Amino acid sequence: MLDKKNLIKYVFDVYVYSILVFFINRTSRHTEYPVETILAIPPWRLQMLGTYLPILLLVIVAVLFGFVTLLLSSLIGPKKSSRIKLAPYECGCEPVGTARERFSIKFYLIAMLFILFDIEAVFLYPWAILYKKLGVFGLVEMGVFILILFVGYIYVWKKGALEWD
Amino acid sequence: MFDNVWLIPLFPLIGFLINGLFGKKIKNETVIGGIGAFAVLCSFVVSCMTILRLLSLPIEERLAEVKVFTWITSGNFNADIAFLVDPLSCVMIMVVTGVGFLIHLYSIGYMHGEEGFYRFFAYLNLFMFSMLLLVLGNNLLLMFVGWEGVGLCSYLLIGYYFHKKSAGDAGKKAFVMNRVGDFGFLLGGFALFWYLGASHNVWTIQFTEIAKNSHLLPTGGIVTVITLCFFLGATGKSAQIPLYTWLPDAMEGPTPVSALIHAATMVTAGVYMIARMNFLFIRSPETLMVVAVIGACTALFAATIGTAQYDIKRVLAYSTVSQLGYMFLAMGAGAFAAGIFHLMTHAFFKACLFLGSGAVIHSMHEALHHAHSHDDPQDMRNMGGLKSKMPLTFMTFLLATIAIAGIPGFSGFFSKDEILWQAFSNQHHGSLNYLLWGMGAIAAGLTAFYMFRLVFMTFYGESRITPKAKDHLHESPMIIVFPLLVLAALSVIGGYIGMPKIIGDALGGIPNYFEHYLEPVFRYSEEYLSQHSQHTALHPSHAVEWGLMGLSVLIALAGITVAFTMYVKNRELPSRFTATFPALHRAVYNKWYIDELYDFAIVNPVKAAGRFLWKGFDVVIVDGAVNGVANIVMAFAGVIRYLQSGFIYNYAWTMAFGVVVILGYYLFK
Amino acid sequence: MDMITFPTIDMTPILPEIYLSLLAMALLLINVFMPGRQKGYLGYISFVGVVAIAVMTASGWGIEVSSFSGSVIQDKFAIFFKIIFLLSAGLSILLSDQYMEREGCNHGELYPLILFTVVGMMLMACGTDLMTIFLGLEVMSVSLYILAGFNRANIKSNESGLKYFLLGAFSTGFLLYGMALTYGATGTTRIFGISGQLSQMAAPAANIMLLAGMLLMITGFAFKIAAAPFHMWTPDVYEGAPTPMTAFMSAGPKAAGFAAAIRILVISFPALQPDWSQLFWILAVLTMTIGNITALRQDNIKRMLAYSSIAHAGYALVGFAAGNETGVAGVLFYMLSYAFMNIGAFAIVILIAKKGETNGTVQDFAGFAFKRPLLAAVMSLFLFSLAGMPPTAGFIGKFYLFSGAVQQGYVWLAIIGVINSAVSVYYYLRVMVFMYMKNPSEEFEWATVTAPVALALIISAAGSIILGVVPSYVMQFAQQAAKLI
Repeated sequence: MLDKKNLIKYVFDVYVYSILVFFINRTSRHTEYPVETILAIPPWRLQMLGTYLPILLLVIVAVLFGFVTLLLSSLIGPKKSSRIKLAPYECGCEPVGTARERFSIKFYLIAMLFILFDIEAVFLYPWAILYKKLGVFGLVEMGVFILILFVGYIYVWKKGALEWD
Repeated sequence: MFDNVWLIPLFPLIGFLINGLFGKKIKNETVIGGIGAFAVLCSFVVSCMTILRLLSLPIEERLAEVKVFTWITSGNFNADIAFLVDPLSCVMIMVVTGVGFLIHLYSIGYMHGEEGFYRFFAYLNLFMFSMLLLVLGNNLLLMFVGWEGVGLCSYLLIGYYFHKKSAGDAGKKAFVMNRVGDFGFLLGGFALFWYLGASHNVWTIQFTEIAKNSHLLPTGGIVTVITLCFFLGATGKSAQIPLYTWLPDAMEGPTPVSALIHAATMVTAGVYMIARMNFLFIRSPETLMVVAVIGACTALFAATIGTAQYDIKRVLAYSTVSQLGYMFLAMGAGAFAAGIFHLMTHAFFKACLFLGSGAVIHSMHEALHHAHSHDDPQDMRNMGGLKSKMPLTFMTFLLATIAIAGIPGFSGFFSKDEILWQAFSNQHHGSLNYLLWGMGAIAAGLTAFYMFRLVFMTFYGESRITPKAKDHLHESPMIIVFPLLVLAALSVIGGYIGMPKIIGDALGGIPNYFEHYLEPVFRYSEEYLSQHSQHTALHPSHAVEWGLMGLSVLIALAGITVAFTMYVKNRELPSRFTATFPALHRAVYNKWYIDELYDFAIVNPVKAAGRFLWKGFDVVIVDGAVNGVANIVMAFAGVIRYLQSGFIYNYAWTMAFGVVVILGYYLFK
Repeated sequence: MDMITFPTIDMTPILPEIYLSLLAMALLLINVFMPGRQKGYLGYISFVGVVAIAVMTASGWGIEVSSFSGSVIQDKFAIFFKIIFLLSAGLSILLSDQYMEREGCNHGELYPLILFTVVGMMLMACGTDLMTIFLGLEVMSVSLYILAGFNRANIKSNESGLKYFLLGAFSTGFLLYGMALTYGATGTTRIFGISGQLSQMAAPAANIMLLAGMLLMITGFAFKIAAAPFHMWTPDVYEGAPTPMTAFMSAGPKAAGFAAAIRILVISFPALQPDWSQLFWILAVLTMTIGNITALRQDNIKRMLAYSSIAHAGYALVGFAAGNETGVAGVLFYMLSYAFMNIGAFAIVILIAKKGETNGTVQDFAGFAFKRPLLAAVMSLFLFSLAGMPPTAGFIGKFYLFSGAVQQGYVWLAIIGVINSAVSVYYYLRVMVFMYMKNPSEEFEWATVTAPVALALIISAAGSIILGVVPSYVMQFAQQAAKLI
């Protein structure tokens, strides 16, 4: 059953599954599935867990990326710190001051537009997952959906809401 | 059969639309007035055709319903735009269109040069339309439509001289009192519809259907409630105690309006309504008694007030209230035909009197105007000696006065005597009858007194205006005099179609045509009475009847004599009388302080309540924050102020509170 | 893997909505691509579109189609209400151009927003699933919030939009919570499904979760129809909103609230009818009375009409409380009449007012009848109809409502209604007194009547009269529509 082709997959399966077991033991009071029982199951029967592999990879890569870039910049970048440079970065705004400051309506506009199209993107995910099963019907439906939002987008664009000034 | 009866209300409606929409552009008074009068003339012609056709039918077939179209249907409820043609409605349309036409003619002359001439004729035609709808409607709802319509027109026409505050106030008063009455009408209608439907499964508001099913109704009980509600409606519209005070104030309107609406037609709607629903009223002895007593009291009470008024139109107004009281007395005595008969004769002579007074006022107004005098042209103390200046007006006025005073041979005598006799001899009220007759007879004497007082003060003696003004007094133009002549003629001869039986017998068997003619309308009442007669009818002898008749004539003559003595022969008497009984005179002159009583007991509390609401809701809430009045009224508006404050959180709190209360009630009940 | 089964999709029930949405989107694009500040032509386009869609909607009469697995339905009830919505939208569109031009806020977005509001209202009327109805309600509400605050330069309009938004969101919370509880109690959001579940329950009235769900939904709808004590927003919002939008709001969304509430309560909760009838009995009395009494002393005409619209919601609730066919048919008929008479009255208010919403008090009507007799006559007609005087639509409408209540045995409710309408005559008549019996003030500058406004006036006047004189023709449709179950 174990061939070279599946070796990597197998290793990760075991890895993921041991983490899961760990969490199950930590968080659950249920003892129906003690570690021993689970471990007794041959890894290839646990293939299901492999579906989580991409997520895990992504998490790992993301964490690594963050650490690596920070590490690199602190290693190779020049350090000439000043008062301003040491202040927390706040998108160009004064970091300290009254919290009840009025700021431009444009922020809200952008935020609202962002949310709108953000939600559009969110709706694309479930469709993409079931893309094949939904078939042509799903494609058309999504097309209509995107078209509607596209009309809104064009409106917003022409209206000049996307321009800051 | 009567297929064209719908034309009768249609013509005035067309007239109203033309004058109302284009009157301002037409400008030409002759055209406007012509359209208005011609519309009514057309209705009159059709009415004549209708009544002739009705008379050509055998008595038992004199009933037709002409459906124009289905108006409302909802489940088992059905109301059509349909007209009822029967002897009663035919009398009414004849009176309404006939007298109405004459008054329209008169108005062309009388309203000459008034601002808003077209408006006047538009309203007048609208009134005719509503009134005809009222009398022709074959169901309660259609009648109510007319009922509201005439009320509205009355309101608009009373307030015709709207720049006068008193006119506006009078209009408002009339409207409010009528609304009270309308409420009664509606309530009665609802109750009747509901009772017949719920307990007998007869869902109808059609008069003929209700009449056919009237045997299902009990005696008294619910019928008393229903009829009392309807009677409340009648007291409002027909100015009876306690809702009569609006009618004298309504004299603020132009005189033709007073003649048409507040004397001849609209105010008789209550009488008509009771006659139309006679089969209901006969089933409630209690209501009949209330109607009779209120009628007699109003007749007497208003007559006393009439004796001390100086404004010529106010005298006539109180006279109208008093005469309406007679009609209700007849209704209460179960003598529906007699009441309708008096309604008709009254329409003739009272319209004549009002139009005559209008002619006098018109003439006085011009004379005073020329003399740059600011005296009141309606005050009889400024008149006198008009006999020679306005001979035709005087003559017609005198004839109508004789008619109303009840001098034998004139129309008022026949109808009034019939009512008094019925009040005396009816089978409903036992020994109360004597009292009713007594009140009616005294009122008759007072009527003769104040009417002749009016004639003497106005037309006899020396003129009391400046000689300069006197020269400008003149007879009115023909268009004003012609209606007077016709109406005077009718006041004289109109009574002969309804001669009381006893007189007819004495004259060789002339039947009471009018009563026979109306008989089919009161068929169901007669049936009921023949089955349920509780009291044995009093059967006084002919001698008694002749005696009573003689007595009432004597009383009337006495009234005239007193008036003659006081106002022609010995003119110091009135002032001496006033000096001797100052309190009494003051009380009568001030209409027994009834208006003041109402102000004290009803109007002021209502105003106070309104003021409270105004302060509470309006000032505090809306303006409070701005002008600081809030402090003053905070005391009694605390809670309310909290509500409509303009602050969102208060609104939200109220909503949340509402939710909590609703949930709390239903979940823990 | 289980296959996803698609429902057979028959678009018929929501075709009007689809076309309206397409039209609205097209207008939105036209608006940004066409230069120029005159946007009146958008109004014409949308009016024509509304008329066409109304014809299309009406042609579906008698064809009953349910689709989207029973989420939407095309039945007579839905069609009747859709016609009311389209009518009120059409009339408001006609009124808009002149007003917006005067107030200087003639932005083209107005018309698409109105159309989207109609889409939402239509979904409320034809939805047979709580979720669909909620969706419709949100589409309607969000558009209305914007419409209320449409006159950006006017602080009152801003206030109006903001208040409507905040309170509307608040009430939506109740509504949604009610729907959630109902779902929890019955396991379904289909309104026919709910009634099925209820009929299997031994004692549905004892089910607290269900009862609470129903009550919360009622409060949510009570807000939309401005029933006391959820009416507080109405005067402020109506006063501040641009007048054509006030007219629209008072006619359309109110009807939509009734449509959804009737459908849900009559179909889903017949088992609880004693409870909701009683509740509506109380709400009706409260609403009528508060509306009328407060309207008595209002000088600002828009505010007065706002309170009067509260009172009218109360009258309609009388028919709703009756819950029988006559009562429901009465509500349908009344909503139609109300659209005619109220929008008509607001049209005159638009003509009377001057830039910046000044000249909007009852006193400003002084002498109107002398300068503009025809307009004054038309206004009187609307006021009469609102007051319920025969022979106008308002009278017949009230008549049906009250007779529904009487047939159900709610005689007292009918009597309170009659008293209330007697009271209401006072403040309507007050306007007439000023029109006919007061002298005009010195300067006299009535706005000219443009063709669209004239058309709107003609339509509403004709409607107010025709429904009053020959109501049976329309009433038969309302009665058919009211046969819900």
